[in-house]
Amino acid sequence: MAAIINLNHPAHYVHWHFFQMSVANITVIVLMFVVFAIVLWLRAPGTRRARAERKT
Amino acid sequence: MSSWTARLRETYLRNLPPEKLLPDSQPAYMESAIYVFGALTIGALFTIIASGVILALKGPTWWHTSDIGHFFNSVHLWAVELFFFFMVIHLWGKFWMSAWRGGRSRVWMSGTICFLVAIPTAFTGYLSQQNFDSQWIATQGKDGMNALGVGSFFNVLNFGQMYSYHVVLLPAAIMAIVGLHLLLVRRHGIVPPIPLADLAATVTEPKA
Repeated sequence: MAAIINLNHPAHYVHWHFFQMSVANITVIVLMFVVFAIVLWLRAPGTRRARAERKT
Repeated sequence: MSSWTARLRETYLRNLPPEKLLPDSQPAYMESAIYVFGALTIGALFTIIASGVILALKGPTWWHTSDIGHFFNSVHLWAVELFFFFMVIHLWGKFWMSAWRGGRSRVWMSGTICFLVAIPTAFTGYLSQQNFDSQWIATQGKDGMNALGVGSFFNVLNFGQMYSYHVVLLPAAIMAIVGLHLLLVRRHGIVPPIPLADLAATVTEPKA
């Protein structure tokens, strides 16, 4: 089965003055920021049901 | 005078009674999804250990040449990626909650030590792959280790030593620290949100 993303090549890098990081690492860090921001507004799974059970 | 076993039991029950160790309910503020990331980190750790045990049982030839070996090799790698992903978000969440409040400094410090021990555990894993990638990393890493002055007893070119660190010593340390971290969380309870009055006190009034 072919990979969704072809990784069979040297890594792509972002290089700006002193800053140098692979695109893969930047993607992971940006994803962590996005997930962190989203979960601040989300409820933990199952909490709605637990709250309903407490009321009944 | 009571025996050491009785004293140990009494100390344990005083610090961690069963209702604290396995509570029936959790505070309402735990409804936020940010509190899930500690448990997700532990879930990823279990996946790492389970897939790692299978890789250790079968060996490098299996994980490099067979389809099922490639699968477990990938499961192990991606579980590590998720472990660090979840752990970093857990760390950020606890940092912005000031989770060391209320006598929880040891909970915070044990988590920090776990993070610091997890890094060399992952690095020794890269050295244990038995492929060109691990050889490249080892030849690059040896200069760093020698610059630190630890190259004579932590030799990244020595596969046997790095593999022992990766599958026995460092995982044992991680599991012990995670166990301690969990017991401390149970003992002190989940850190509550910062009171609004404290937050308001930190806000300075704008000048008229």
